[in-house]
Amino acid sequence: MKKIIYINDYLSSSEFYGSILPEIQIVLKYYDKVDELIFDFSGTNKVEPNVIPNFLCLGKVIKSLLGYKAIIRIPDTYEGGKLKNYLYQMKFLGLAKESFDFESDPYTGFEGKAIDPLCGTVYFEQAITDDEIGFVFDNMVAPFADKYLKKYNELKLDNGQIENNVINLLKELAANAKDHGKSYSYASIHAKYSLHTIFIAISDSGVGFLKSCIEEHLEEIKQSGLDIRNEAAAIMYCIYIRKTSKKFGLYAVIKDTINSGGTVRIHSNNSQLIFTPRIIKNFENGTLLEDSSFKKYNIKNDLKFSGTHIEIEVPF
Amino acid sequence: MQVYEEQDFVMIPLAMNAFFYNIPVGTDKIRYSNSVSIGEKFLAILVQYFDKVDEGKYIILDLQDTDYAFHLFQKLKTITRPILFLNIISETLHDKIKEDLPTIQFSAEQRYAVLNISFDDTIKEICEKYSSSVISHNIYVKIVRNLIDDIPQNPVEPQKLDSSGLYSNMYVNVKRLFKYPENYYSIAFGLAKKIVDSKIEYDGLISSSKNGAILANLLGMLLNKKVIHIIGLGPKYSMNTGNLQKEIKKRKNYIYVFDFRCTGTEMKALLALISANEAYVTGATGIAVYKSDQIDIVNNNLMYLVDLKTENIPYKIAGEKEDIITLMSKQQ
Repeated sequence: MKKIIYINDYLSSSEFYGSILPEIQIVLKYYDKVDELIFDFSGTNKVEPNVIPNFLCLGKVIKSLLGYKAIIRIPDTYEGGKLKNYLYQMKFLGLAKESFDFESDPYTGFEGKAIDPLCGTVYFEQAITDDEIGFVFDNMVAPFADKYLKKYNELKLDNGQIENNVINLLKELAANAKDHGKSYSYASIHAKYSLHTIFIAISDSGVGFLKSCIEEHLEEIKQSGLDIRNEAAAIMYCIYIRKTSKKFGLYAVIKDTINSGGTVRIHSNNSQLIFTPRIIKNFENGTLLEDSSFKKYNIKNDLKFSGTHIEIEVPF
Repeated sequence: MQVYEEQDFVMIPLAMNAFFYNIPVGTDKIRYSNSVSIGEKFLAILVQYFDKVDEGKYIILDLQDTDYAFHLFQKLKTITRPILFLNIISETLHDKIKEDLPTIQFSAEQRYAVLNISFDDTIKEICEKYSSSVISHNIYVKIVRNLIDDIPQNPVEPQKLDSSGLYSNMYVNVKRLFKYPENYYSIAFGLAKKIVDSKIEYDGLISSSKNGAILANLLGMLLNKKVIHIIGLGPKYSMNTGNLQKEIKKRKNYIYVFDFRCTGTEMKALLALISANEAYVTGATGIAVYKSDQIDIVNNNLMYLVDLKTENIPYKIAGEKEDIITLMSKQQ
């Protein structure tokens, strides 16, 4: 049987988690009845940059679980040409070849203009060194920083700061994926000049927070008497382990991002935590999980998708 | 390792060195960045280098335009000898160092720091005296001095300068630079920094000599700009392939890349050529110059690393072979 998943007009992160993932769960449940899976982008005009690593990871998972590649359908229309152009410039098309098939040639019929200069997706093997990760991101961000961020930095009288923060953020996240997740990872970045927002996303198919947290900190957890049984509690525990550091680790990343009005979404295996500027006080006090409104609005459970997926939107 | 050494201390500009050591083997894409990340590999090389420095000398690290991730400086905790940190300009870098090296002492203005030693007057004097540009400038002078063929003995054997037809008492052998990649990349890093810091608007780089072309190619890659090589302008080492008319685009701005500029004959010819093609030369950059005070169109934007005159390198030029011999014998 052929299963077609229709993608909405705007493929956003919430659309991915709220609509695509549940459909994938159904496909996996009835895996013996589905022999062809198509993602239909016929009605899609825009793709949020933060969804790209998730989508690439999803492709790899489908390929390994079902044994065949899912198919991406992008029509040869003007809108389809614009979408292909965007996906090409985000380096999605090149990376997707490994885990997806395309119904028609994705490299023809590009429409629209070049997008912002800092955009792209990279793939890291698990065996990569920290220096190699650093070199990739330095080379990726540097030309953009020279062209755009410098002008912005001059206005803010804070030379080089944004550039360094973005690079270090990406390095930390990619290193986490290989060290703790023990997996390959996809990372994407798109600095949307029109929105003055940098979109950063990293996805891996690793063990997730709970397993890695228990493996690495079992003794400390036992001593502290904390009850860490689910992914949300594990995410919070891992964040607060590095609370003492102002400049390194997830705590610093989240704190800096939400302090500057940004958003961080962390998904691990089946739970997603959303950090927004609204929760800054409880976050700093370490009382987030006791906050009922945080539990209600900022924690989403039952979003089954193996691995860790971090999405960040930082205003610049 | 590119260092500037004096009797009491060794100064290491981390940005220049990390830039070279960060480049992975076999890569074909390197970009210049205003801020260079210190990698694990480079830090290991640096710590190894500390062992080679005499015990009595201060090790001074120039941190301008650098940054790092992953608690890397914690590795310096094991070092027991005194280390000075200069030019800590970025606030983030300051906080990171403070966190990774709890015993470090910062100066009152937080721009300098010392590890395993206290501030005294000598240290304060060094910190005040050596800005980042002074340290790197001293290194560039050292590199250029090594490019000059041995200072001639008496009697002087004059060198003919191919572009202007004049004679000089010594030869700046830029080809020697390409034998030492570390020097070559340090020079390219310095020139890229000059171009970026100058904020000149330009669309491409242009070169007229073979040495200049090699340098321009690397700069073009670092700065992500198109490079044009002009044919038949330099007399002996000129480029001899390509099509000039097609490459130079109307109303575009170019930066001229040279290796060593003596009297600027080649540069003037190039400016005329570019103007004839309705394009502009908005700046010129190269390793070294003689007569930097010479007035020409790009004078305000002449970006060079070393001026032979101000560095007391006894470089002389004259119109005739005999004149240069007379000039040098008078000096001796």
